This record gives sequence, structure tokens and C-alpha cells, in this order.
Amino acid sequence: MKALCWHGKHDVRYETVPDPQIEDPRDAIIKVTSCAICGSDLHLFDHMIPGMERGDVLGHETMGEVVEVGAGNSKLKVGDRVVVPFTICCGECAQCRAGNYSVCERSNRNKELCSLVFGHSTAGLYGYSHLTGGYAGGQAEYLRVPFADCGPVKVPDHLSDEQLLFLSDILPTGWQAAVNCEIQPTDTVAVWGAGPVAQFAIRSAVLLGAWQVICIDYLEDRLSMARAGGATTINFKKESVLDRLNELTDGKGPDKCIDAVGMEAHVSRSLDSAYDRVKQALLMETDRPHVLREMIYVCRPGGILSVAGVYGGFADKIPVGALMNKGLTLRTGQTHVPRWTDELLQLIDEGLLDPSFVITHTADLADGPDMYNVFRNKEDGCVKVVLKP
Amino acid sequence: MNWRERLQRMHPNTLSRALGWFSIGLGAVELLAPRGTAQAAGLGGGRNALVRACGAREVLNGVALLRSMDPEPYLWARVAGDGMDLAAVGLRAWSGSRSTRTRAGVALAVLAGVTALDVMAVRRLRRRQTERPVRDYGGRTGFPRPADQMRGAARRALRDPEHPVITPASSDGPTLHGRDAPSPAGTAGAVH
Repeated sequence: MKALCWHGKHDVRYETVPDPQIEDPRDAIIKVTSCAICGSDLHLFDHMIPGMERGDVLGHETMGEVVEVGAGNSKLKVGDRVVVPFTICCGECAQCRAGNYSVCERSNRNKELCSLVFGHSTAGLYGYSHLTGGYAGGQAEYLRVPFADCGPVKVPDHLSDEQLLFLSDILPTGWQAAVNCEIQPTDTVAVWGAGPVAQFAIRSAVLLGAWQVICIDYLEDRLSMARAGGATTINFKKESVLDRLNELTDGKGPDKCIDAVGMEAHVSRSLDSAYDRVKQALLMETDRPHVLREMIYVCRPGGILSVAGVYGGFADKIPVGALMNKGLTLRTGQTHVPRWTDELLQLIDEGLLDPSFVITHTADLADGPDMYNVFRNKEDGCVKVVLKP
Repeated sequence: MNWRERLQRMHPNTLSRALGWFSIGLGAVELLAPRGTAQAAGLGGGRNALVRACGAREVLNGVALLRSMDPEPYLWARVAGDGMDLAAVGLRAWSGSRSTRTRAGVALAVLAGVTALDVMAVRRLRRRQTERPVRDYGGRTGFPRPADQMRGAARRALRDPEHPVITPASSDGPTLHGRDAPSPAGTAGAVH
């Protein structure tokens, strides 16, 4: 089959790889009908995440049709249309039973390696390094789905791929980021970033009843999309984030803050982002936590910080004094996708949310390598790329 | 992918940052080893102060390039600095001894290459800035009604007995469970 494979920094290739096989009775094989490039794929593209090997198949936002089912899988049958959550979960371990699917205790095939880095193992992920199990990803014609009687979401035929695909990752990620904020009707929620996850976090915050949602970014096209979703926007390249947030909150700061940027914060004029650049270049820091620092500084005391953006290693100069003394709550984590998919599918089915608004580019899977560059460089107003095998 | 292709595909900002780091590296060498640098460039002895001044300029320029959201002015500053360096080394190449001229010639070639890179970075940056259209996504709401009419709609839609939604009042943090979710009973969360 054909797939997009990682071959190093800024080097993704469309090439032939072996077809996936059923390896376990609970497995299923799906024929991919749509897949997407995620912002977190760009961390791999930029080689910011360790544990990648040449030839690894990328992609963790995938949906398609079941074409083969293992003997022990009674949930799926050939012909089912499914969306595949990016976190692989067994559904049986203590964490899965508690709903913490992204830290499933069984799905990561490289537990020892992951434990060495993180202290304990997290769940396996599709196409996201050997730290998370080394599973082949879904930017391919076919995908092997382990524990396929737990994760995949059966979806109805009357909804399009474009409406459903993002149930795999970015929609529940934005939703979880907002739910983690414990939004109250009087809340101001500030969202850093205006990429796809941020767009869904904005709409989730609105749907969950936030009084005011503020989006901070510098790309005007993305900010226009954020405004369409109900956000007031701040272009950090043109105005002071601190001054504007104070102006919009009567000097009190946002009640809830969402980081939808993560480890590769854009280098701004702030001194700390230059500092991060220098330290990162000297291999003394892996992540650039400018957004995290800014959230801690601007958040109203007693507020909640919700981190949806991906961090991968080590960061420093985190103002823990402000974090502690302001009594802030910090919530993080990869998304527990199956926790949210039923509710989100209901919202889509009832027409309250159409996630396809975020798609700006649709291309053939063969054009994937070019689309990585377009997405990474934010060319042509690119916000979200969907690929069709 | 060879280096030419890599250079062609490199984002202008990436190229600017690479030049920023190059500037800092070169500046550090000039500041720490002015005599060796002067000799390598064919400038001869007694130019330590001049070389150190160039080093300080390079470091400052490099830091500015890395810090700036808009690197274009600093790239132009690099081009201007390249001009000064070319003039200084070129004069020496014109008037020095044969061995000095040889070293200065090599230095001139290197400087010319770096200048070409600087000019290329400026041109690509300007082209990208002028060519990048700003799309208006103001119609992409994702909602069936204007956003201000959608406030709290999910809470209303999901809060019914058959589709229980929890609000995050639980001491164990927020959870949200729906029908047929593959999560067993006993999960924390206040169901409404």
C-alpha cells in the first residue's frame, strides 16, 4: 500500500510499505477514506519529538471502512464505517476503566522506553514515535487498528467524512480543553493559538456557555475564523496581550486559559521567547513554553490553566511562584478521546456543530509531502489539511 | 534531498534564523580570537579592535534576527555589514603582499557567498510577505446560527436523562460520559 513515511527533519515521503495484517484477535484493518495532518504531526516533521525511525508511517487522524476483523472482535464487522481515536486503548486496564484512555496501561508496546522518559508509560498512539508504541499511522491506504473492539467509533452514513473525521483527535482535544476549564456562565476563557485545536476549543467554550472567549494569535486569516466562532481576537504582533486582556476583563485577567500552542511557541518580541530559542539551540531545553508562562502570569487568581498543546520534554523558567501563590489549577494530558466521542457525535448529528468549517485544504494522499510544507509554513491560508488516499 | 533543494524549500524565517545563529557564531569567534580571524582574512596584525567591533556587531545582529518577528531590517543590516567587511578585506587584497592577497581572496569569496545568502533571505522574505494573501474565514462559524446564539447550546442539548452530561463540579475533576461510552461504571463525576 501507499503511505506517508517519516525520513527525518522536514522529510516526509509518499512511498510503498507492506500492507497491514491482523496481529491479534481483537484487531481490525480499515481502508482509509480520509485522514488529516495534525498540528502535532508538525512536531514530528520538525523532529522535536524523540523516538522516530526512518520509514515510520505518520498520521493519527483517520477514518475509513472496516475491511478485515480479527476472530476475537465482536464489536466491528466488515463494512462498518468508523472513526479511529488517536489514542489506542484496551478498555480493560484500570486507567481505561477510569476513563483515562490516553494513559492506557496496556496499549503501549514500548512501555519500558516510555517509562524511562516519563516515569510511567502512557497509551500507544498511531504514527507518533516509538515512545508511544511505534504503531504505523493512518496517513496511508490501510490501517491496522489494535484493540479495535474498544476505540473505533461507528459513525452513521448520512454524515460526511469531513463532518466526522475530527472526532479522531482535534475536536475532542478542543472539547476536553474546554471541559477541563470548568466553564461557568460568567467566565472569560482565553485561548492561545488559532490553529485547528484552538478553533474547536473556542467553539467548545461557546457551546459550554462561556461569557466571553478571547483568542490570541498573529495570523489574520486564522483570527478571522476565530471571530466567526465567537471569539474576540488579539493579534500579539500588533498589540500587547497583557494590556488587551486587562482591558477585556476589567483588569482581572481571564478566569480560564487554554494553551492550544504547546512546545513550539512562535518566537515573539518577548525576551523569554528569545531565551527559549537560545537554550533550545544549545540543547539545554527541548520545549519553548512561552504560552505557559504567559498564561500563568495573566490568569486571574484561582483560575484554571488547561494545556491541550503538546509538550514533549523539558522546559524551564516556569513561574511556579505565580502558579502556586495565585492558586491556579493546571490541567493537562493527551485527549481521552472515547470519553467525549458520543456526546460530540450527538452535537454533530443534531447540527449544533459542523467541524468541517476548519478544512481549508483537501488533497490526494500522494500530495501529502507538499501539504506538510504548506501546513507547516501556514501558506495559502492553510488551517487544516485533509488527505484522500 | 540535496542542499540546494533544502535551501530552496527552506522557509524564509528558518533561513533568517539560521543566518542569525551563523552571525552569533561568527561574532563569537571574532570576539574571542580576533588575531587569528584577522590573519585568516588576510587583514594582518594590529586589527584586533576592528575585528572585535565587527564581532560585537555580528552578535548583536544575530540576537536581533532571532528575537525579531520581522527579521527583514536585521537582514538588511547584515547585508550592510557584509558590504563593510567586503570593503575592508577587499582593500587589503588590493594592497597587501602575495600571501596576504591569497588569504584575502579566499575570505572575499566566503564573504561574497554569505552576502548572497543574506540577499536571498531578504528577497524571499519580501516575496513571501507580498505574496501571502490574507484569507477571510469570517463565514466559517461551524454553527447553524450566529455564535452569540450558540452560547451554552451543548449544555442544553446534552443535558437530558438519556444522554447524561456531567458538569465539572466533581472533586475528582471533570468527566463527561455519554451513552454507550466504553467506560465502565464507577467513574468520577457528578451526573446531571
